[in-house]
Amino acid sequence: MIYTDPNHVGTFTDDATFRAWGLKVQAALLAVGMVVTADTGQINWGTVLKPTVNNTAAGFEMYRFSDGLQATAPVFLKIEYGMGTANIPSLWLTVGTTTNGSGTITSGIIFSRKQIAPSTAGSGAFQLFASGDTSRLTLAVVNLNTQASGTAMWLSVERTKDVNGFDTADGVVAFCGAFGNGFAFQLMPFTGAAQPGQTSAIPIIFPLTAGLSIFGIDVAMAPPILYIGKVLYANCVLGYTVADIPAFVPVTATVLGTARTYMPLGVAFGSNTVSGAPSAGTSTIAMRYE
Amino acid sequence: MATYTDVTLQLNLTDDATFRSWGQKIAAAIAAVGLVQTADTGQINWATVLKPVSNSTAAGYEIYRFNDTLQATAPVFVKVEYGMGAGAGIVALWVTVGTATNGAGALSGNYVSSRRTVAANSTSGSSGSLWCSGSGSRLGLYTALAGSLNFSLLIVIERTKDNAGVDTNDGVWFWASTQANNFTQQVIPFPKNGAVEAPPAASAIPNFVYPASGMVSTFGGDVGLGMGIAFIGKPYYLLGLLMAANGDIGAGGTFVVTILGSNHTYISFAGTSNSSGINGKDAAHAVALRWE
Repeated sequence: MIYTDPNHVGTFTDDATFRAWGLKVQAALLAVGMVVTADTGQINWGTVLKPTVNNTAAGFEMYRFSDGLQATAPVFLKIEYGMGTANIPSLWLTVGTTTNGSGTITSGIIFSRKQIAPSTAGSGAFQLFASGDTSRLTLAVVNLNTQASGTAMWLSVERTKDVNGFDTADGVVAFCGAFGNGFAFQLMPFTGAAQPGQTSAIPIIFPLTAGLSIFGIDVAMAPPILYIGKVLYANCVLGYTVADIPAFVPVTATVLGTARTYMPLGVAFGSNTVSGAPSAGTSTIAMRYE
Repeated sequence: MATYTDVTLQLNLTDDATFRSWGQKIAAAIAAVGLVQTADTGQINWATVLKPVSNSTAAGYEIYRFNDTLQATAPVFVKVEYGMGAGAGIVALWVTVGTATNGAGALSGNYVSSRRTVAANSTSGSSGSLWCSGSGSRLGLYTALAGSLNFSLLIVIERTKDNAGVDTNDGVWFWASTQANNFTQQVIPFPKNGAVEAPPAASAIPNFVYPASGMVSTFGGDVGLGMGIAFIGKPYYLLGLLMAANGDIGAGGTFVVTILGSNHTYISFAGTSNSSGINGKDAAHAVALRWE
């Protein structure tokens, strides 16, 4: 499922615009398949106030996957809504396997709390892109007018995949990035210790670093490669060479044996938000968009 | 497929005799595992060649070629230059990979890799070890100080593979690394379906996802091994070299791993050389060379 908001909020000036922004994000999450839990204390969009202090969250929502694996390999996503630098939206993402029922991920933390916020609003319209289903979520926001890296933010959470692209119960991987707050990814197996979050080692072999990203009619896009003793994959985010594919025009790519639709996110989501990628401006990411 | 070892390799080129001994052992290894020396003129004469008098100088070269069925339509030539590295007595190779030769020692055409210096970072009076494996379409060569694995150098050249592990005529991959110099890898594409591209520049960014760096390299009975991927518009796979978390595979041991649907044997070079021996990689990782 996909969802897009071409009139997304790039800044908020008061409680009303803060609420409008948050509700737009909430609408996207629900539209693509996330399910709100019954945790108490979740944000009340009718009464919440815009934060008065920078880099502060005003409240949270707790979401969960709803696929067949949720019963035995549960995944919960805590999304906190707030303000980064003055009047610029900010999210905080935490992912785990249990919640205490009142908004705290209590154990099995997969993705430690990470702020995702642009550093600048730029001028002109923002656009939100979201896609997901019962076992994945990808969200990206950018100022389409400037396509400046400082305006981009993104997050992606999905189950590990086997070589055929099927979800596995081995683990969950989460990625996020924003110009102001860097890049992070974290992997956790459902059995064993959580792995430390990484901020400089995205597990993607970017095509331009390892050969020719384009040759004849072939254009390379690369999925993350993950290890939990054996090789596993993710397919919600692909690496590609900026110059090879026009931004914000969906493309079809065969990934792990299946043709899937991806939204190339362009230079704004490139090296500044994806550490480990080749030199700035050459490589970036596309998000699964179906 | 073949393997070749030598545990009496010179690691200090003190005179013409030691230079010749070292070079001849390298040449013997390359020939023993399946590459074929060409008839190019001007190749090194091991009976008469003199040790270079200047540092960072090659004394001569040999030209080898692949010897598989794809050689007729997707030829691969390897130029190996023998000489002395940045310091007196240091062993050094210069390796270039191309798709044609002019018959007199120069690789020609558009499809030539960069000339890579592959040199030890120091000398040793102790014996070195040489491990070489290959076939008519692959060469893997690793030399280092016996025991410690210091002063290492590593060369891997192979054809691109499809997802069944079968050689393709799409390209040839060239990896060169040493303890002294940063590694590089480069893929050389062959023209195909009307598409012609010059090789991309050699890259110092690895084309491996390492099993550590936030991953779980061992889990239960599974041990993660990173396989190289080279892109020529789409991904091709490389079997000549694997990466493993340093503590997961024993130094010097061989093991069998199933990759791209087939069992292959590798030899581990885990240990002291690896965090410094393969610069540019995750410091916690070791290399394993295909060993069959």
